[in-house]
Amino acid sequence: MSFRAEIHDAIDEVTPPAPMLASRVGAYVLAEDRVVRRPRLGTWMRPLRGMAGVLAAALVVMLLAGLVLGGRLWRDWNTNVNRPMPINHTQLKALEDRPLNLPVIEAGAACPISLLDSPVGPGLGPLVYGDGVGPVYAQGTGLRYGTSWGTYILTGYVVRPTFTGLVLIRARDLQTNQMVVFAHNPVNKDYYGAIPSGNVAGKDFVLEHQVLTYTELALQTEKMYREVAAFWPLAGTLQGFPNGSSGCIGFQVDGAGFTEHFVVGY
Amino acid sequence: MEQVAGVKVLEMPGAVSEHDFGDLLRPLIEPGFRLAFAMLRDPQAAEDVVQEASFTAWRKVARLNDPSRLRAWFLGVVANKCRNARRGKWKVGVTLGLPDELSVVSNEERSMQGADLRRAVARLDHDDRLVVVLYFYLDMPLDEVALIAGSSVAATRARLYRSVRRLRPDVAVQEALK
Repeated sequence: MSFRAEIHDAIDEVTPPAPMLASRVGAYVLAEDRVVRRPRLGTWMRPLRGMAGVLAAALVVMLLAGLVLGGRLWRDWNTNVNRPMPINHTQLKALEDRPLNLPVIEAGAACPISLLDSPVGPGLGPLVYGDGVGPVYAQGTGLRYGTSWGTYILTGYVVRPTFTGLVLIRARDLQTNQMVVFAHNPVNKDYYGAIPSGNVAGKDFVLEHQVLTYTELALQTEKMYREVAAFWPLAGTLQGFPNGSSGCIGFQVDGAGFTEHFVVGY
Repeated sequence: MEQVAGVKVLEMPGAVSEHDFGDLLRPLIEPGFRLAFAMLRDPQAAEDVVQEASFTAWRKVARLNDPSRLRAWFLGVVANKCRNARRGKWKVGVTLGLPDELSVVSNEERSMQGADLRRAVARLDHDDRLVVVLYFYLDMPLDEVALIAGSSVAATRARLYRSVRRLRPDVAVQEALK
C-alpha cells in the first residue's frame, strides 16, 4: 500500500459523514449575512465609520433631537416598528378555519422528510436550501436553545416576492402528535411581520428572557425584512418542540390561494 | 461559466452573484470539511470552521482577482480558521478528538497502523500537517498546496519531505511522494 493510500485510509477511517453540511452552511451564511448587513442600513453611518468621536457627537445630537421632538419620534417608532402590526383577524380566521391536514406516523416509522428545495432569488444569499415547495420556505439556522420544556430552533422564513398577504403556519410532531409552538425571538427588537398567534401555549425562559409561546405563526409579508425592495422578504421565529418530540415535524402553511405541506426531520 | 479543476469559474472576475457563489462553493464544502477534520480531528469544530470559512469567503469573494484559484483560496481560508481554532485554549484538548479505539474494527492490525499514523500526523505542527493533508489526503498538486500554505513551491516541497521523514522514517521520501 502506498503512503498516500495509508494516509487516506487512516483519516477516512475516522472522518464522519456530513451529508447535510452544505445545507447548514447555507443557512449559517445567510443568517450571518443578515446580521452583518443589517447595520449597513444606516447609510448615514458609513462616513462615520472609524470616527468614534464624531459618531458619539452625532448620537448626542440625535438624542437631543429626540427630546426636542417631545417623544413623537419615540411614539412613532414604537408604534410602527417595535411592535407587531395588528393582524387582519378576518383573514387570519379564514386561514385558521382551513383543516390541518397532517398525517399521523406510527412511532418508530420512517419520517417522510420532504426534499429540500433551493429557491433562487435576489437577497437569498448563497447556498440557500429551503424546506417547503413555495411560496413559503423555512430555513433552520442551526441555532438551538434548550429549556426544561423542550428545544427551540431559530428558524427563518422567506416568502416568494410574488406572494403578498397573510400567511399562517402550523406544525405538529407527526409521531407524537404534539403541537409545535412559536415564540418571538426576544433578542430581536423587531418582529418583522412574524407574529406568534393562535392560542397561548405557555411561558418559557429562552435566551435569558421570558417568552410566551403560541400555537401558530402568522407572517405579514409586507412587514417582513427586506434589505432592498427586490429581495425576498425574511423573518425569523423560535420554533419550540417539547421534550419527547420525535423530531419528525409536519408543517402546514396556508395563505390566500395556496396550502403548502412539508415535513422536516430535526 | 467554464469548468476548471472541477470547479465552475466565472468568466468575469468579481462578478459573483449570490447564486453563482452558491454553485461555486457547494462542491468545496466537502473538501473543506475533510481538511478541517484532518487538521482538528473534531467533527463539530470542523463544521464550525467550514461555516465560518464559507461566510468569510462570501464576504470577501469580490476581492478574489483570479476565480480559477477559488478552491485554493477557500481551502486557505479553512486552513487559517483551523490555525485560529487551535490557538484557542478550549481547543487544546481537541487535538485527539475522536477516540482511536473506534478504528479497531475488522482488520485490527491495519486499523492500529492507521491509528498510529493519525497520531503521528496529529503531532506535526500546523504548517507541516497542512501540507501533508493537502498533498496526500486531498490529493492536491504541489503548486496548489504551496498557494494554500502561502509559501513557494520549493519551500512547500521541502516541508513535505521533512514531514514525510517524521511520519515514516523508514519510507523513502520519493517513494512516499508518489
